[in-house]
Amino acid sequence: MFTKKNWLLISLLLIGIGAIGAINVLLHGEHVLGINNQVPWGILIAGYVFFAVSSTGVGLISSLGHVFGFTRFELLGRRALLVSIILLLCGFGVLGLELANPFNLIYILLSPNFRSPIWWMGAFYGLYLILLFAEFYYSLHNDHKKVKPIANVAFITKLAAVSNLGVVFGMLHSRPFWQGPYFSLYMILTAILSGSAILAIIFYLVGEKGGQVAYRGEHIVISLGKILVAALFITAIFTFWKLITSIYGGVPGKYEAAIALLKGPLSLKFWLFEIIAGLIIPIYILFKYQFQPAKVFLAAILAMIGVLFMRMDFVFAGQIIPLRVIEGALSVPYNTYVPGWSEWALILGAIGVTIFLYIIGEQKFKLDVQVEEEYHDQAGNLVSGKAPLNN
Amino acid sequence: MARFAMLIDASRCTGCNACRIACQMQWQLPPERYFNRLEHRERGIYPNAKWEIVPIQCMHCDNPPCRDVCPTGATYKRTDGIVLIDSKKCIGCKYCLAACPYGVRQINENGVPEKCRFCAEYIIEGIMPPCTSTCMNEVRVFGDLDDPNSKISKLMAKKEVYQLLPEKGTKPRIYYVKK
Amino acid sequence: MVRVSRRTFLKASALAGVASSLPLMVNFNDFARAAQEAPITKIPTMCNGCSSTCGKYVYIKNGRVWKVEGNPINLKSSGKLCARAHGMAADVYGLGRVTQPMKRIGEMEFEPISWAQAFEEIGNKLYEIINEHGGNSVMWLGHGGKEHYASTFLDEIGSANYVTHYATCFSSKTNVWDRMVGTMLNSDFDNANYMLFVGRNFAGGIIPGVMNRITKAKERGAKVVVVDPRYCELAIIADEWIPIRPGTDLALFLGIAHTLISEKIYDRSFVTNYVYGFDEFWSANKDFTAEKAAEITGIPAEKIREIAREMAANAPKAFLDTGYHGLHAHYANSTQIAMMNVVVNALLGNMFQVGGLMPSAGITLGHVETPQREIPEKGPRADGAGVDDEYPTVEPSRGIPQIVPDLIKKGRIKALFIYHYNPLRTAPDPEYQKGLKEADLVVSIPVDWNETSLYTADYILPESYYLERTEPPKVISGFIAHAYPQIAVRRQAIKPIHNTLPLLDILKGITAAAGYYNLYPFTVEEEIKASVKPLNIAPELLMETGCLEFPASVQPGFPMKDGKPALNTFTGKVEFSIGAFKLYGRQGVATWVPPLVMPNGEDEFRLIHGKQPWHSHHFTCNNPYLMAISDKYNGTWLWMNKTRAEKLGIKNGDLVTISSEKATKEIRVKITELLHPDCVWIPSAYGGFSEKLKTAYQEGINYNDFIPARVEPLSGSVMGQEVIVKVRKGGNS
Repeated sequence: MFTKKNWLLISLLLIGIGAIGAINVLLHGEHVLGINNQVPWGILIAGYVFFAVSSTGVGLISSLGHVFGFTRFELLGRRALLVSIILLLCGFGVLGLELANPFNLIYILLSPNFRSPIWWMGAFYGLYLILLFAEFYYSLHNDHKKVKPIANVAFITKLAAVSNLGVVFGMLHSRPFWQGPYFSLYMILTAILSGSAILAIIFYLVGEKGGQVAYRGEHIVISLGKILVAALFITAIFTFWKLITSIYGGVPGKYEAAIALLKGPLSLKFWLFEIIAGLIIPIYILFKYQFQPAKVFLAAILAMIGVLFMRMDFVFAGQIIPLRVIEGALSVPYNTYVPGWSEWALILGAIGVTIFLYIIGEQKFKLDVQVEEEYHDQAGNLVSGKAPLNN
Repeated sequence: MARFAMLIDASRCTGCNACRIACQMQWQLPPERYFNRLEHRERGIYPNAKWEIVPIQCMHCDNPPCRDVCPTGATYKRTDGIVLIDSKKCIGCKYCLAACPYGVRQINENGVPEKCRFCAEYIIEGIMPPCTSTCMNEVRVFGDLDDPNSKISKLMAKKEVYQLLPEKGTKPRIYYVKK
Repeated sequence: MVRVSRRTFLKASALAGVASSLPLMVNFNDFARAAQEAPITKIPTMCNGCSSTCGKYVYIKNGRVWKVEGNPINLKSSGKLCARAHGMAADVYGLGRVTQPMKRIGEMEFEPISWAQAFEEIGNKLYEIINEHGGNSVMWLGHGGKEHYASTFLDEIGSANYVTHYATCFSSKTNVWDRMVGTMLNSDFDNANYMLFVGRNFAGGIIPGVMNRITKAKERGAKVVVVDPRYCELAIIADEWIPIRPGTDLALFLGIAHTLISEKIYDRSFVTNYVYGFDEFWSANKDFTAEKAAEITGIPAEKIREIAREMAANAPKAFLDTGYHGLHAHYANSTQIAMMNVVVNALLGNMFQVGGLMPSAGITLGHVETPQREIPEKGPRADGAGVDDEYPTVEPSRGIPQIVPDLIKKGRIKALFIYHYNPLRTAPDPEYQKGLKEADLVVSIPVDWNETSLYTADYILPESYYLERTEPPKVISGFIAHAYPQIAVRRQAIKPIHNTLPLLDILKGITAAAGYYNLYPFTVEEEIKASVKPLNIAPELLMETGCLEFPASVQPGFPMKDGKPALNTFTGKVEFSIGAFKLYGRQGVATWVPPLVMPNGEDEFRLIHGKQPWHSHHFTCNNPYLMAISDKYNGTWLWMNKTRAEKLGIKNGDLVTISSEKATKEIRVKITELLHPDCVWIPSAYGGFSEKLKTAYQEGINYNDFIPARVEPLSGSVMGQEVIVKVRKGGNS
């Protein structure tokens, strides 16, 4: 099932769908998007957040090796860097198509507004991308002297980037559901969630094909699964308190947004995809099967589907409640936003591009990392070198 | 230096929408794009009910969130207080639409936000914004707060006024007459 | 620098082909550039967004209409304009216009023909009809206005059948005021201290100059009271809204009159000196107390007395506004309502008084001298207006438009000219009105593809849009008391963009082809010259200003001649009793007449209607700018009182089925506390069913769908609100 050919076919199919969507957006512009003046940000922004945060998350998990010296995570090294680069490029790609005038991005440099969180977002993620390329380059050339300091700077940069991404929303005093520092922390947390899930998916497949995935005889996916379950748990707690604090006291704007998630127009996406498929079932699988790599793989896929919908719910919940300028004014209960087909196509296309580029990357680059370790061989002697997988 | 502002007496507005369409003609906007909107509110229970209408447009805030969030400075505030958009610099991120608590920005066919411009190009020639001049009930008074002899300065001195959503810290340049 | 974004660049090639036919809007940057470059011309003219004909300036840029602005001198506009004035200016480029003469070749099919062919064929047919059936078989059916062109033609052929839309609008008012006062008086908003508006929403059926005066009056402390089943837009600025059971306004007026008289607070010297028939009125209405009025109207008796007392206290600077469409074509008792309007104001003694009711200043315009023609004797009016055994008290000058299909069926009318009028949508019962097509010749002269033209006309002869034509000057009058006479002119702002003609040229063509040579031996320029000749002004002055004001010609005080009251009535006084009504066996004074129908039961409502501030007649509904306002504010929805809606399980925004004996329709509902529980309300403009008018097509419903074509016997009105509808939740299926 998971043959390279099948993956290629799937990715090309998704890319094809995405390409049609992209052409439609390029030809007809803004109005093929479902966005409107009440809901200016749609699923492309959600998609951008999905990819950018996932990229950072993959980076954060791999920092455990590079930066914090947990040797087993050194295994993730080049693959994590590669997938981080690809995810970020896809994120930028989706954002680029969402922007009406991407050519004007030059004014980010020519006419910067340092008060704008989006300006900082561009700065941090731009820097992050450069650092990722550098780190990947030196990593491929085994120039560890250079990799280490770059990784340190990159770690700070990605924390800045991902928490700032939360602030992009948190700075909006006009949107009570988003406003505040909560989403800054939430972004870091869910970055770890999606980072561990993506790496679990990749390393499970790498292992299936005989790549190096074991450290001291233990499948790295087991460790990733443990991080994932922790992240899922904390996310569940975060989500719970966010909703409770939003409902408690019925604060205008927050309350209605929370209700929209719980029993309003967002409730199906929220309960079915974000909570049940994205949190509850993965947690259940992970515990029930004691982090067996194949089950971690399954849980990670479900968690990623959950994260995708989580991003959509998050982006839409902030805008679904009509602005209350005049107390008691007649208004629709909820703003409406129906994504255009091109928007869905672009999200699928970006996922396709991620898979496709990753396959190419696997072919082009030598991604296996030799992790020096000591282990007991079958005869019981302590040896140094690459340990075989013993599960 | 001029300090342009507007005083709106919402209690005089009877909802005819002449302001909306006069502005659309002035700026040649398509039918579905408008810089003036009316918020309607019903109060009380029949037969002791009331209908109130409040005109809303860009507040030309002294602390405009739309300007703060704009990554390229495409949204800027002139020294006379008018908040404008330099569409040349706009990347189309729509952050300003998300940031405006009054919901007055509208995306145009090029993905660039537009909004009330206080008729910047015309008022310097002494022409009143058409939303103001076409209004049969004279709901709006536009003028220069730095000119003590302007109609708006005189009225502001006489009437009790308020601003919309002061808690957002935006310091709007549009004032409303308290009933 | 021309900036091309990625998308506009990609779109550019696709757009290049249609760029020349784009509507007037372009994107802002292009526009700003054009604005800097293009010279602007400003042309004064008169609006036609409704029939109030405000004065306005049209700004022309690059040969196109850019925007409009109110003429500050013109009384109607006073420098202000409403939404329609702006929207309908843009409509000169509208997609609903008929762009050249059309001839019917099938059920809904037309072929374009030349003007020459149109004149030739219509002229020949008209000649045949007049030869065979006489000139009286020809009818001119119009909205009203530009009568002099039509009457020249009708006089020539000997037809009495000039019919206006007025019976669908306000005919009981004109009928009664002419008989009781001999003239029309208007509210003196500038000087009144107390204004009572009953069924008259100046903020919906807008005259900007009037609203401006009312808000200014409020500012200086005048009291404004609005009586209306619906909290209409005027009520927003009023001191008080008093909801009334629809159809019972007559009782309110009788109650006010009773209070004024029984409490002896009416103006006794005015009544003694200037009123005829007071005793007859009082003896017929002695028992109609405020309590009785309260029982019928649902307004507390104390409130009715309060109104009467406050008006008396402020008299003569107090008035009951003389009204317009509201109440004057609505009910079986509309004629009595109009009579009571005169009575209440006369009891206040406010007529010809500052701050009360005053005449509009007039001035006499000149006419082109044309050779005397031999005029044949006219036959009886086909609609029976003013005809002894038909509708003797209905004004023949206005006619009964709603029954024209019957007149065609009876063979009285063979050729029908419909000018700027759309009875299929704006008169009762559209299915019945479709019978207009049975006439041997139906010629419609519209600007747009209205329902009447599409369904009934054999020929459609498009008139040039109002911005494309010049018309002879008019004296401004109506609704505003003013001492200074004004004249205004409609002046061509742009050249016709389609193959259209002004009415004068159309009539010249048709009449000449029918054998009436040189019936209009003048041009419009000559008419203008002749019009202003007696005023000693140069026509150029009028053309450059669009509107001129002359020195005051009206003084307060009752018109007297040789020491006697000199109104244009039999007695020279205000006549509370109408002799003509008595002559035809009716009561001479107004007394209580119940409405024709009353709602009864949980799902029954009286269907009432009114103007929305951004639509006037149905024709504004095809304007994309004005319809975008309807979209934004759910303008097509049916209003329903909240308590009644709750009983029927109807929520805001629900789809309901509404039906009368005539029609069953679906519409969404606005639930509100701002409406009397007995009725549902819809704006009067919607319900388009001409497929050629894409923007208006199937948007909302129209009250005319639900009412039969009836005639109120005294004044001929349609009784547009004498209809009960049943409303139930859910759609038709």
